[in-house]
Amino acid sequence: MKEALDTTKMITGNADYLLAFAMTKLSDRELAKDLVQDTFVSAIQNLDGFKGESALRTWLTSILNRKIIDHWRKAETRFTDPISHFFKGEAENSHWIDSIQPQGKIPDFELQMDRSERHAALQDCIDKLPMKWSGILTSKYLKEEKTEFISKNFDVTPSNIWVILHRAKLVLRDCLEQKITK
Amino acid sequence: MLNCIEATMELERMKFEKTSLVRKMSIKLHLMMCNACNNYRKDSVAIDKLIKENGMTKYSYTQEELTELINELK
Repeated sequence: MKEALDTTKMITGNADYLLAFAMTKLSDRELAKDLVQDTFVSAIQNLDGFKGESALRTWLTSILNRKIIDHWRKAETRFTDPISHFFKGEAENSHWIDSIQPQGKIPDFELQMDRSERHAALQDCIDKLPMKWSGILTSKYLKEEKTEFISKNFDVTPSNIWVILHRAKLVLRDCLEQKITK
Repeated sequence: MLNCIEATMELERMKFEKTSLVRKMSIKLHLMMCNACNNYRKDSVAIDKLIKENGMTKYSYTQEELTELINELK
């Protein structure tokens, strides 16, 4: 089991397996790669935790699996309640949480990425939204449909359209910003 | 005085609906004092543009796609 300490061997011998495992649970390859990388980082930092009782691959897979579950949990709170994900404080004083304040970087997309990269980034972020949200978003911004039409079509009250659009925009903006800072 | 949640939501709403002058002023005032919301405003405009640009490309070929198509049909 001394082999476990050879990190290069650990990576080359397991990277493909872990990526394939992550891809069965996530559809986003970049995200899967990130989580596999995180897994190796954790594994290297916690080699003591590997007792050699289980196969190295089983141990790595269990770390990766925890990372995937953590990711889902975070992604979920972002959707179920983006307001408390992005803002803190009671109603009157509510303000952006410091670490996720908008940086105003999205206008740089045009400079930093070519057309197809920009669109891939946008599509990826839109795909992460709940279907109802992305449907309302595209109806409003792209097809410029009337509020009454959207309200009927998506079974939401007119005032709720704004609530949903606002939340969708918050999540979308955050997702795009992360792509540009990477 | 608007808070950040209201200010960012009003920014989205006013793109499509008429907003009273008083409301507009209170949004402006908030943006002058709040850097984060002002950044949100810039981002939001850029995202709208991105959505529109992206939506249009779905219905037309990119230059590469077109070249590929032409080559395949030769």
